[in-house]
Amino acid sequence: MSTLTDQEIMKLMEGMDTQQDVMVKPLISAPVPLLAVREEYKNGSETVLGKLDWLQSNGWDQVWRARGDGDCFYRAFTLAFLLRILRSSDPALSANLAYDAIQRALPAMKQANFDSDLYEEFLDPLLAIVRSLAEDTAPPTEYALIQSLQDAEKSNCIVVALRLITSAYIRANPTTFEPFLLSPTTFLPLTVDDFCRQEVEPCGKEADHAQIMALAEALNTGILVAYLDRSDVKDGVNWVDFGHGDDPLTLLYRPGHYDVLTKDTFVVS
Amino acid sequence: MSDARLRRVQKEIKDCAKDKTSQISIEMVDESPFHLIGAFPGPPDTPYEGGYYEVDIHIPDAYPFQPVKMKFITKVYHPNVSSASGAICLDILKDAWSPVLTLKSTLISLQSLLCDPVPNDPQDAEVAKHYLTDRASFTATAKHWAQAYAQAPASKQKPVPGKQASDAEMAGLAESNVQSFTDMGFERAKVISVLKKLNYRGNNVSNIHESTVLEELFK
Repeated sequence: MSTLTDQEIMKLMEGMDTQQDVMVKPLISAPVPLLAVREEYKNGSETVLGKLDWLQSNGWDQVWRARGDGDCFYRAFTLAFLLRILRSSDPALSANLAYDAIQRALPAMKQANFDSDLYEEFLDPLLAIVRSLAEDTAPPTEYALIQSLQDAEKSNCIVVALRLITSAYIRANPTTFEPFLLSPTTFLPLTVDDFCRQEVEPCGKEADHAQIMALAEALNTGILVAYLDRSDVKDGVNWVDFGHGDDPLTLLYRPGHYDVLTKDTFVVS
Repeated sequence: MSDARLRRVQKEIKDCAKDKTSQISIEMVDESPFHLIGAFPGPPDTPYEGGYYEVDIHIPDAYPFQPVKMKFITKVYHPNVSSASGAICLDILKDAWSPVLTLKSTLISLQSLLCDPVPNDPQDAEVAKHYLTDRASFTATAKHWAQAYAQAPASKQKPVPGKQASDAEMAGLAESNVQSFTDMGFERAKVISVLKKLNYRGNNVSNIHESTVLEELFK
């Protein structure tokens, strides 16, 4: 079950609906019912509505919105990554495993010639949150977690850290990724260096399959993305999976945008 | 926000001062770490060799998440630099900026830009046309500018005809072409600005009918 009270949700959602301008919306929101997303598609495609209904009836009833500023995948990933720790049967153990996974991604950053003083500063906020989740005495609540991720400086640092981890992983595995590195505007192939410099490292550049795959593998986690597109799927939704590992992170994709998708009636298996 | 930004900029300035090999310098203007002047020598084997180039640097509020603002203070004749304002066309100063880049690495990229112009994505369209039409004449003009504006010592440059560059040479135009129109009674400055705009250079001269030039001159 979500640990958020109604009052906490109200506070975290302040400004989410009244503000039309995307740049003043919260970077990440408290959970909204999937039905709120369905409302946006009320007069839209039957196929999309069918997929939303399938998700709802299979327990995927919570969406945590990320701001649509081109960094949404990385912000959604962060929340999903941290929520998974918080909601696991042994949060301290999960937090320690996550901490190790991040540490294992660091050598590739060095190899990619990123300045260690710089990337360590970007990584700090993420490592601090993961460390706090490992504490048995007073681990943060979901409310505190969202509050930290709504802090622009922390959130932006984490976005940059994840972008650098992604870039370093692609640079370290050029033969795996090279065939898939295309410019999103011209659809022409890009070299590993050009792709990382133009499409991964700069803030505001949207993540596509190559980036998602790289981050999943770099941090040794599975990512499962529910695609809300118009493709015909009988009785279900297309799940695209990246990386591998138990208990994958689950995201909701609508063309050009990623949010976090969870089950409110969360059962520890 | 500003604490981290201040810490980072101060560290960058210190690191740059410590590094003696790169020849890049960063100095504060009015003791503000958010308004700086960067400088570097013109790269060897380019028309800018021997020159010393200063760059105006502004650190935006959201630095390093937003790109640093840079423009040349020293006048530069280059397709990707506005010859009037010093504005620079370089991807990392726009949408390819990444927070992992630094003031020093960005200034080094500017130095590389002087080595490798990108005429297909110009900041100064007239200079880019000059570069694409007549490379030798472009190089001569860029050298004249380096000597006139960037204190490039003439001794380090291959000899260029004449002691001081004429106004026609500074515009990359042949004196004979300029004269053929001043002889008709047009003002010299006007002739130079029109011929520059029309890229009246090298083989391109045969593509431009005299009447086109006259039409511009009468405007």
